[in-house]
Amino acid sequence: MFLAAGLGAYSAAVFHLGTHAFFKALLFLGSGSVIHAMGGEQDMQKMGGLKKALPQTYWTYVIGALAISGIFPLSGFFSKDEILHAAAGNGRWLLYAVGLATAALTAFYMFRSVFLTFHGKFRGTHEQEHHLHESPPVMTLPLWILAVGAAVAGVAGLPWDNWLHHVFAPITQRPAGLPEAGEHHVSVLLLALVASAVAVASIFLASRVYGRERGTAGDLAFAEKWPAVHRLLANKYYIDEIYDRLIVRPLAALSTFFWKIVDAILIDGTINTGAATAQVAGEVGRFSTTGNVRNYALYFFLGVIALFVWLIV
Amino acid sequence: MQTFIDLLFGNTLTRLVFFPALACLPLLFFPKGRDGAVKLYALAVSLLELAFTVAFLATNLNADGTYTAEHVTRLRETLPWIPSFGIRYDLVLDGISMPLAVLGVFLVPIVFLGSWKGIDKHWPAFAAAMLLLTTGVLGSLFAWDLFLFYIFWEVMLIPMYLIIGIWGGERRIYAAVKFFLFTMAGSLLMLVGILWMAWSLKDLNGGVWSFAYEDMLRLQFPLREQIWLFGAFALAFAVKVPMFPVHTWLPDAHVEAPTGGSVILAGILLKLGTYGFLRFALPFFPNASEIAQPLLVALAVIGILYGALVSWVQEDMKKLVAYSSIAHLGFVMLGLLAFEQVAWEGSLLQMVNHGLSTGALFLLVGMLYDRRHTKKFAEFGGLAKVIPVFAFFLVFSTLASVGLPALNGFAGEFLILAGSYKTLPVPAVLATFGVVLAAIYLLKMLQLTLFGPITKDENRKLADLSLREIAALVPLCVFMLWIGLQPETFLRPSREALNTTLSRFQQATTRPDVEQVTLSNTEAGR
Amino acid sequence: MSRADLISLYPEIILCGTGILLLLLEAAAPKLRRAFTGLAILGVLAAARSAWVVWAHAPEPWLTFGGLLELTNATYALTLIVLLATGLCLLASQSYLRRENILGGEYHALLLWCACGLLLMLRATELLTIFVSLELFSLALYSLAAFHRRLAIATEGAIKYFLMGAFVSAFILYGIALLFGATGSTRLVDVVQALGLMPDVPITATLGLLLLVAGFGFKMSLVPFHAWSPDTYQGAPSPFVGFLSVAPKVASAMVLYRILDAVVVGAPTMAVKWSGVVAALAVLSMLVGNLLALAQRDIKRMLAYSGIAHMGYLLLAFVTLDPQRPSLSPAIVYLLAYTLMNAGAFTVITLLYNRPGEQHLIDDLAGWGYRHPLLGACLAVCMLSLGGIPPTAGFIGKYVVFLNAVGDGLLGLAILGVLASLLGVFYYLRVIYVLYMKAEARQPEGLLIDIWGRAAAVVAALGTLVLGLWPSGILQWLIEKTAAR
Repeated sequence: MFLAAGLGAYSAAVFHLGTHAFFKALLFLGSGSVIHAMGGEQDMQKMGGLKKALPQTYWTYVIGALAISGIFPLSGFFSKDEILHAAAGNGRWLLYAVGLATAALTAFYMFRSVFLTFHGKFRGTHEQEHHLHESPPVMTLPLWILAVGAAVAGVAGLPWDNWLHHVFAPITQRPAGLPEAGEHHVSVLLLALVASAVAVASIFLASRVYGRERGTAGDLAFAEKWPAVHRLLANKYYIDEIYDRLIVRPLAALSTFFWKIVDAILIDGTINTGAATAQVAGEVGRFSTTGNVRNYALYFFLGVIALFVWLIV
Repeated sequence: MQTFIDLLFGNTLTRLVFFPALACLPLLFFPKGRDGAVKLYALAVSLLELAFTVAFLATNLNADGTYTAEHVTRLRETLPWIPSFGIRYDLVLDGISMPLAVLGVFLVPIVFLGSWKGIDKHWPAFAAAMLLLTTGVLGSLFAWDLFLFYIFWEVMLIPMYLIIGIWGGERRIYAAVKFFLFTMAGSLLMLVGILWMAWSLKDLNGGVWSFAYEDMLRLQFPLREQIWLFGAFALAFAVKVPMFPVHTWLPDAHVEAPTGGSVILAGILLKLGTYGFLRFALPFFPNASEIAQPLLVALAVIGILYGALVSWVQEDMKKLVAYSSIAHLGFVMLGLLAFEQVAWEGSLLQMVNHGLSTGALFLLVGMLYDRRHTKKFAEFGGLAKVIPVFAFFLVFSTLASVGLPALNGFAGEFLILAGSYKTLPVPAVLATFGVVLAAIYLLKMLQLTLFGPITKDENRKLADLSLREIAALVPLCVFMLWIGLQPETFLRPSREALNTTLSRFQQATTRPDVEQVTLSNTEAGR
Repeated sequence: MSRADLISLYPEIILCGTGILLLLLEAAAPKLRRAFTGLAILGVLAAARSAWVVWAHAPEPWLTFGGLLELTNATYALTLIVLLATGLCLLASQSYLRRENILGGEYHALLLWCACGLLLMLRATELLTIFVSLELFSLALYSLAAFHRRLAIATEGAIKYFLMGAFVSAFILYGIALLFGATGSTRLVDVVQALGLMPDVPITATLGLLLLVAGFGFKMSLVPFHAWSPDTYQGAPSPFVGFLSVAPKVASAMVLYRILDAVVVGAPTMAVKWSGVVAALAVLSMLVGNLLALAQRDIKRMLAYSGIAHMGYLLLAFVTLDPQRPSLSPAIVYLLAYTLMNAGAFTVITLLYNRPGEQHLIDDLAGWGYRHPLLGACLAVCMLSLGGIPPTAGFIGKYVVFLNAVGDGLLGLAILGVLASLLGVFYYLRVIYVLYMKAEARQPEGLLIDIWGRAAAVVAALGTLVLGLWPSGILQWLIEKTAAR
């Protein structure tokens, strides 16, 4: 989506945003249904073979996964295709390659989740297995609605009759200097074929690694082979930790510094010092009132002399 | 000729200003120990005052919601007061003071409702202090004579001092004195500035004294003098806003003040600082304002970020909200210093917004405090399950404060940022980080109080909000939503006044510097 | 002495006569003691009434006794202020005298004679007349300060006051002598004329004038001539301190004004130097007064120092001795405000403290704002007014004084003044927070709160508020009537 927006293909971006809304929502709700069935368990390592227990969830989930992978004729196919077309059409082949690779990865990991969750053997506890159940209609109905959407939303942006282009025409005036999409006349059909092939290949690969009874064996093998990479990935590239160390904690320290040092010591300290100085001056000044009349007369006398000197000099 | 008494009994500004003060007199005659009756009486008075306000607006606002210079002139109430010094009793309602005045009046009954349980002694005195405070606030907003303004400005201090000092927390006396001295220090220098302006005006005006706002507006000082005078005025108002680095009285005042005191302090007293800039400091000294702009903008942005950051690390709920006020008022200042119509509209709207949402937050903190007698985050957690109604209002007000679209905070902040981006792009971008930080610290507050597991057993049996408490919160939330959905309704009455002030200001900054004080002619001055 | 001369003295004669009458009654009919306060107040009212009648029929200015005394609008206004202070003091005294069992006609008589001396002094234009009236009221003051003779502290304070007073009287007399030596006259008009004719102001004349300024600065307790006042205030009967801290200052301010006026008109070349003298006294008084007040725990001592500071603010009105600018009307406004708020404060102190020999700790008032709501509110109003917070008389007083200072180009002094008054706010607020924000610490025992005392407190506090809210009449009158020199 960002790729499309960055390329100036506004309608493509919005299109993908729309289709994405369907299949991503569908996938989230589907996983919600699974988690519900698993009694709150979220770890795919502990699932497997849920196809039988949750058929509706399974099928809708698969539709979502296919759509997000960009398999013809589901909606993801059209929207993703248009983005890639925008990249290729602008001659941004590197961006195209990145887009394609990402699409491949998406297809791979989506089907990894399909296989790990719904295929193979159940890897959870007996108690969980006993409680496995399909979700009630109140949950499955939205799944189906979204599934239909994910399947057919592509009609909004058919390559040969793009309704969205018309809708967005008034606001998609292109910034000067950016070439019009499709200036490099790359065949839409060819690009679609390539993308589909990549997606299908990825799904196939996923089925080879995770399909049938293999379960998590593939992951374990990967972890054994490249432990460092696996750790990096499993921890989401440590982005949360990096944020925490680099931004959150220093900021918190800075904030505390502002509060305890700047506010309490610097500003209030300065003001309190002023007030205390006045107080101390007063306390010290009290000693001038000795109660002794001789001193009072002396002040008077000295005062008169000082003023006299000032007057005559 | 109109007399004061005539004005007092008409549908007038005078009635709005003095009705609360006069309504204090019967409080002297309530027998001891009849706090229930006093509460009802105070609530009735404040509602009546609200009704008077509505009546005044209903009779005078145009059908399309606009309010023009013609109204301002026609609805002016002016009588000689101290003729030897040309001092007049002179009240004017214009588009700039209107939203703030309405907000002030609107908050008072809510404060009484919110203080029902929290204030447990000396109710007659509390009611009197609140009502006198209302008089002071409205008087400051309406005063069109600088002497009169100064009187009302100072009159506000005493009730607030008493409210913090009598009904406040443990360190209440420290907080009350700090509040008083900070504010007083600023305003005393402003007094000297006013006197200086009065002399300049007299010398140019053929020896005739005047403290009238529009006469003062005609004074054109040389730049050097302007800077000094601007400094005196700006300090007085900056303390009140409060701007970094003269803000430290605010957290103490808020934390120690009783709930009602905090609501009125955040809700309306702080706004008088920004109002002072908008009404006096900036228009009186346009060239000095321009020169001081970078410094003040820097302080405003520092205030936004600083307030947000310090807010984030607080362990005390009330202190968090208090520091957030500094950040929010920083936005208002930024908007004002942008000298741009949209930003000014946003600033004025944001003054109201902050009054509503922060007022609601202080009320909610107070309600929690009434139940648990603590405001520390560590004592809470998981409250959403126990007191869902409370949780709803807290989430609602927090989101309004964060600036969630469709609620009021968004409308104000958006206008401020959009407007100031035109003239102050870099500060506006920096200020945007403040919005993000606001989301962080306010959501942190929600997280720590409402969500997560219930860690303290005392929290398991908390009573949810009573009808009275809900009645205090609902009006606030209604307006948060209303402003969020339809800000235009609330912007319209102020637009013309802001536009006049702004264009006068811009005209003035293009004039060449003068050698000595001069009096611009009336037409150009207006 | 013509009949007109005698008429001009009616107020003084009435005061003096009432005093004598009370003294005779004390000897002849001591049972009537309880009525003495009423009688004395009637005397004061009669004096005020006659002052009004005389003023209303007199030309402006009206010189009597061959120019020894003058009656002007300004002296008339100050006369009324002194009588106001006397009346408030009499009202407040009744309960004190009864409580301490020292009720007697001497007290009232001395107070009335003292007032008589003050009225004479503020109208006197001749140095020896000034001196005689000074001695008249000073002796009465010394006796009154020691009136509670069983109290060691009262006697001590009075003796200190007397010793210092005698010392200062000598200075004043010496100053008069020097001035007479230099100019050949003790009439201020002649002194001015003689000075004007001299090419250079002789040092003896300068010294003479300075000694006079210092002498009356002592009566006004200006720094560095102030040190007697806290000790004396502490020991003297509280209601009398309400008078001592006000009335002599009012009259002395007038004399100081006359002396400075003589300098400006007679020796304009020295005017700048003299401005410096006044400015120095003003700044020192404002700063030292406020700083030392800050450190006090005893409310009477605090008010003694605060009084010093207030005379500092007042002096700002005298710094610029420009014959064109009316510097007397701000001073009169300030003195009126100061009289009301200070007398009010001391009245409440009289009523709420019952052990005159001991310290009057501010903390002893803790929580009493609720026990004595009326007196507490009166004291609070007086404190706010002393702090110069609107809408009170104290603010109006500060306003006119600072307005004039700013107009005279004394911006620095005005800023210093407002900053000093910020210090003041701090300790005045302390009284309010002790009254209302602290838990009660002391049981009220042996207090005698009578209707007279309440009346004095209410009159002072209400007057403070009224003057703060509707100052227009008084301001207008003063500005119109006392502007001309």
